[in-house]
Amino acid sequence: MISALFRQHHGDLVRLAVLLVGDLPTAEDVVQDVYASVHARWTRLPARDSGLSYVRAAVLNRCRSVLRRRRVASRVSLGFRAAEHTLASAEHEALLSEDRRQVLEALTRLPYRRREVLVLRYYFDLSEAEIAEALGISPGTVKSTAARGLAALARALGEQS
Amino acid sequence: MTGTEERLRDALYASASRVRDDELRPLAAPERRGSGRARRPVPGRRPWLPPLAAAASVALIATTVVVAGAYLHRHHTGGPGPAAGPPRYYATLAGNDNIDLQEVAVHATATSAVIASVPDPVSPLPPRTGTAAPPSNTATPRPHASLMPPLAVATGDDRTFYVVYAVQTEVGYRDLVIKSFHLSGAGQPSQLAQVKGGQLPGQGTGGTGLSAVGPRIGGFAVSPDNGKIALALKASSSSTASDEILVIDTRTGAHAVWRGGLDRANAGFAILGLSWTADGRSLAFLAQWCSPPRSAVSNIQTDLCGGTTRSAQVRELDTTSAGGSLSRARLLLAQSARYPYIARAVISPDGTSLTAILLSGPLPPDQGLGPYAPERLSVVRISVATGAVTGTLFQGVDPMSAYSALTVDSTGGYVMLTHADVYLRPGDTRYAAGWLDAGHFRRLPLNTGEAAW
Repeated sequence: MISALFRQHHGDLVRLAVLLVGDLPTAEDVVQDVYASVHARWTRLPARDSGLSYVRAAVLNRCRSVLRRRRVASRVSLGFRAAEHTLASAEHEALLSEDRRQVLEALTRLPYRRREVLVLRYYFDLSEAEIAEALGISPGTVKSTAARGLAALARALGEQS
Repeated sequence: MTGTEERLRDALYASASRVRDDELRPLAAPERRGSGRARRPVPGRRPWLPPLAAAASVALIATTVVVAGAYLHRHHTGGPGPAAGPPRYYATLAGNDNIDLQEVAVHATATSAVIASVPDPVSPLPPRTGTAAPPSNTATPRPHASLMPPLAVATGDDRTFYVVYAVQTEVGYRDLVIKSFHLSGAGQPSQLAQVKGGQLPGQGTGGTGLSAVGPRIGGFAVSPDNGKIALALKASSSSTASDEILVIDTRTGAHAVWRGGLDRANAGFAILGLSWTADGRSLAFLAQWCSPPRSAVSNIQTDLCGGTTRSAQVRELDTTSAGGSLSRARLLLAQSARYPYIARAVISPDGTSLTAILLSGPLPPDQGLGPYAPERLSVVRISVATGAVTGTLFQGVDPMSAYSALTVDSTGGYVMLTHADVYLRPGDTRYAAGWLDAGHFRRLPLNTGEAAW
């Protein structure tokens, strides 16, 4: 069952990770790690959790860990920079219009939680309740976080929110 | 949909479209953890980086502390002396501007500057169970180590700080653990120490797997003598909000729990905010009911009642017993026409008065986003004996008032107002974070998260 679930949603899970961590190799590692982790104890997990929402939340957690470790690394720059976690890599930039690049750069500068909420809402079209469940926060916080994220994005892009 | 939303959706689809299913590295089923997985090399990834970075981080923090400590030693040679002024230091849970995972920072009250960061503890992740082993106090990561994000911070004496950490596993934060550190006269934090009775297995998720990854702590307070710690937690996996009070005796490690007795039909119940009297016997809390419960919409309850009917009471619990029903708590103040929205309240050290956040005014229009609570905020003192306001400490307007948190120093004389919500609000001049100094509002930096002093 778990293998079938991952086969079916592999692409979407990697896309979720890539929109949060910014580069494809790390995103693939994230999903691979979650697969390995969940595979080992799938039968012991609570039956009440839906499989996809469980795995999606695990991917979000792992992305958070990756970024947290990057933050620790970047906090102390010892003559080098940690891997850039930008959504607009050089290769990627060439494929994106200037407008999209600006939007993604502005998104990258948002606090991580806001980025999570906006990605889940505007790429995956999840409802507030689904986002709340995935992030372990209240629907009210999802609302306010989305509002703040959009407002910050609008400011960064020079728009009226 | 606004222009920003359209542009965001378009950019996300364009970015994600480069991930093609037929080009993804196939998933490898794990035969043995850590083996058989060929990782694609990532530019800039250095396996030796985490331990080196952590070691350097410790060195950097130590340097910062020494420098800041030297400054403070020159300028503040006396003892803490709360009667002579506010505490010299306060601690915050502050989010990073880019990644909002929190860290514990120590600030100098005089300048609000961060003078020290408390290194996160780490715990080893056993490979198969996903349940973390008892954490260590070192900040040096080990193989399979997991960082432990702080969730709440409190102090009872302005110098010994207690922090609730979530123990991270592969699938979420299952357990909580409480650690403490002490500030020297120069503001230097000690090593983190394990708190007796501070291991709280299963409290991180409420036992419902991933559906509650982000644990919600409705309140966290330490008695002035550091003998008792109180937390508002979820009583069970079916709880939609913090609905029980756990008191830990830090000398024996014994736990006492109060739950039930305040439930109302067709209403969601939540405990928001805890505070101790000076003798460490009485614990005040704010009880909130939302009717109909938010759980009718979702199984996760927000602090806010939204468009539903809200009522609140401030109650005082005698914690000298071994636990029991919350109904034993004495009623101190109830929502009324006079006090239509009591957002938070803390009890004074002598138990004779409350310092409360009151909200008033019309609800803002529902634009589909944001909270639903009055925006006009007052911080007042209320006599427990008469229920009358004896002084107004602050008045302001804030669109997120309902998320505001109150922290009072050990004397009860100095009040700090912050947001329980840690997200930054750059450019929002209405943000009300600050401490009250003889009628003056000393504004804190915009990024001040939940604070303790």
